[in-house]
Amino acid sequence: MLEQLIEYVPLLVGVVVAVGTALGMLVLNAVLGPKRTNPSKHEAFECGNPSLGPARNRFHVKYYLVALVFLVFDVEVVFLLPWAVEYRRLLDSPLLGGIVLLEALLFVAVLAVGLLYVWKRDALRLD
Amino acid sequence: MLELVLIAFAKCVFLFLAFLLGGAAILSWVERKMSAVIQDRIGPNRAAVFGFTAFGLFHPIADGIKMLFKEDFVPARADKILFFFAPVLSFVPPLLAFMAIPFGPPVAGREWLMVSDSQMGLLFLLAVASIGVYGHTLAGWSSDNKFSLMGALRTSSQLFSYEVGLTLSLLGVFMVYGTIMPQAIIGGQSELMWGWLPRWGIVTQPLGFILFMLASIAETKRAPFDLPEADSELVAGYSTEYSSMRFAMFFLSEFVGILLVSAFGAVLFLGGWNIPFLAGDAWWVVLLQVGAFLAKVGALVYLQMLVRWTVPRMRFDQVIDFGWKYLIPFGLLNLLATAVVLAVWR
Amino acid sequence: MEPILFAVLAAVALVAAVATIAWRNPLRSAFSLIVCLFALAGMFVTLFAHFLAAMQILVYAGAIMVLFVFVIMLLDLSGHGSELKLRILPVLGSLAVLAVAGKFAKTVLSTHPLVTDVPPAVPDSFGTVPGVAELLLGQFLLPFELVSLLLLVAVVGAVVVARRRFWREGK
Repeated sequence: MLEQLIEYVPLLVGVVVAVGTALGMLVLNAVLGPKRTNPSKHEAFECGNPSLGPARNRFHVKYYLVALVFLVFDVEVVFLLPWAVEYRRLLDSPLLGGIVLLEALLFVAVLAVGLLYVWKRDALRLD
Repeated sequence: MLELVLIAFAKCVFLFLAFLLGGAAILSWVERKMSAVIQDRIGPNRAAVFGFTAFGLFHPIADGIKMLFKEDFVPARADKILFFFAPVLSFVPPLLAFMAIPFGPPVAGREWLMVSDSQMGLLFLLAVASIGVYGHTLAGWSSDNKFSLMGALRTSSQLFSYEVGLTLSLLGVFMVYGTIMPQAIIGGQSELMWGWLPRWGIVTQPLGFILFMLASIAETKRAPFDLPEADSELVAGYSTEYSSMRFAMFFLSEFVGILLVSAFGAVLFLGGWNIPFLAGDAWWVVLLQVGAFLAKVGALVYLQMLVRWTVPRMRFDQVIDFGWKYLIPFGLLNLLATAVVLAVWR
Repeated sequence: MEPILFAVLAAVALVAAVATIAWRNPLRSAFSLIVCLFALAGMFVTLFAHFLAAMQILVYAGAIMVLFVFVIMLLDLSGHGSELKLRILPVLGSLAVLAVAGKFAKTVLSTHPLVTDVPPAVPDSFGTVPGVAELLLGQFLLPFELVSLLLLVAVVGAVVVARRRFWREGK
C-alpha cells in the first residue's frame, strides 16, 4: 500500500521548493531594499487626493449572490465529473448502459431550470 | 527514497526557476514588444550592456534587479500578516499546478519529463488552481485601499463566474478520452481517426476548445476581461498598494498563469507532445516531441497576447453576464451533445 | 508508516479545528478551517481516495471557504464580531460535544480489538473516479438525482433571500 503513496513525495517536494522560492525572493528583497519612510507614504494611494476614511465597507448583496450561485454550480460540476470520465465505460456496462445518458440528462435539466431562474430574475446583474 | 526526493527537487528547481520564472520574464518582454509593434511603436530598447541592446531583451533582467533593490513597504493601515502572505498565496498555486503537466513522453519507462505522476492526474491541477483566488482577494482586502478592495471584489466575482464554465469545457475532453490522467489523454489524442485525422482535442471538442480559451483568458484576468486591474479605473486593482518584490510576485504569477493555461490547453486540446505520424522512443523523437509541446504552448500564448492587444475591455456587468449566460449554457450543451454523439456512434 | 501519517494529519486537523473556534478574528478562524480541510484531503490521499482528496480541496477550500472569506471581508465584521454573548451557548455546546463524543467512543470500542489486520471494508476503488461514478450512477442513483433538486432549491433560496433586500430598497 505504501508504494502507492510514494508518488505523492514529489508533490511535497514541489510545495517546499515553490514556497521556498517565494520566501527567498521576499527575504532577498527585504535585505537589499532601502528603508526610508515618511507619513504620506503610509496613506492609502487614491491618486493624490487625501484619503476619505477606511476602505473596508459593506458591499452590495449582489456580489454575495454571485458567490452563492457559483457554489451551487461548482458542486453540480463536481457531481458531473465522475459521470463524464466514466461515461464511455458505463455505456458498455450491462446494468447501466441504457440509462447512463438519461441519468445525467435529468440531473442537468433540473439545474438548467435553476440557471434559467437566476437568469430571468436578473439575479446576477452587476451594473 | 532519497533518490526520489533529489530527482523531484532537481526537476522542481528547473521547472520553477528556469522554465517558469525565466519564461515569465521573457513573456513580459514579448508582451511589451508585441504591444509596441501592434501600436506602431518601437518598444523596450534602452537597457544595454556595452551599447548592445539585443532588441530590449535586457529589460526583463533590469526589471528583476530593480525590483530586488526597491523598498519592501507595508502601508500603516494594512493588515500586516495577510499583506505579507497574499503575494505568496497568488504566486505558489500556478507553479504547483505545473507539476501535473507532462512535457514529453515517458523515457525509458519512467516519467522523467513530468514532476508529479500521481493518480490524481489533472484533478490536482484543477484543485490547486482553485486555491489561486485567495491571493488576489486577500491582497485587495488587506491593503485597506478602495481601489484594491474594488479590484479584489471584481477578481473574486469574475473567477466565480468563469470557473464553472472552465471546468465544464474540460469535462467534454475527459469524457471523450475517458480518463483524468494527462499521459493517457495525450495517448488517446495520438491515435488517428479514419487513418489520417489526428484525434486531437481540438478536433473532437472544437466548441470545448473555444469555451476553454475564453474561460482561461478570463481566469488569467487579461483583456478583454482585465477588469480586476483595469488600469484606467482602478490604478492597479488589488496590487495598488504593493511595491518591490511583492508586486513582482503578482506580476510574475500573472505570466505563469498564462503559461499554465496554455500548457493545459496544449495537453487537452492540441495533443500535448504528440506529433502526428511520428512515433518511437529514439532520443531525437523525444526531443522533437518536447519541442512540439513547447511550440504548442507558445502558439497559445501568442493567441492570448494577440487577443490582449486587439480587443477592448468589456464592462464589468458584461463580463459577469458573459460567464453565466453564454459560457455555462454552451458548456452544458457541449457536454450533452458529446454524450449523445458518443452513445450513438459507439 | 501509515499510522504515523494518520497521526500527523489527525493532529493537524484537530489543532486547526480547535483554532477555528478559538480565534476571535473571523478571518483567522476561516484560515484555520482551510488548514483543517487540507489535512482531511491528506487523509483521503492516504486512503487512496484520489477523487475525494481533489474534490475536498476543489469544493471546500476552493469554493466554500472562498465564499466564507469573501463574506467575512465584505460584511466588515470588525467591531461587530463578538457582540453575541449568550450564557447558555457554552452549556449547550458542551452537551452536544459530549453526546457526539459518546457516540464515537461507543463505535470505536465496539470494534474490538482496536488494531487488527482485517482488510478494509471498502473496495480498492473507494473514492477514486470509477468507484464514485459506479456508486453515484448505480446504487445511489436516487440520491444523485435528488441532489440536483437540493441544489435547485439552494439557488432559488439564495436569490429569494438576497432579492428581498432589493425590494425593500424599492428596486
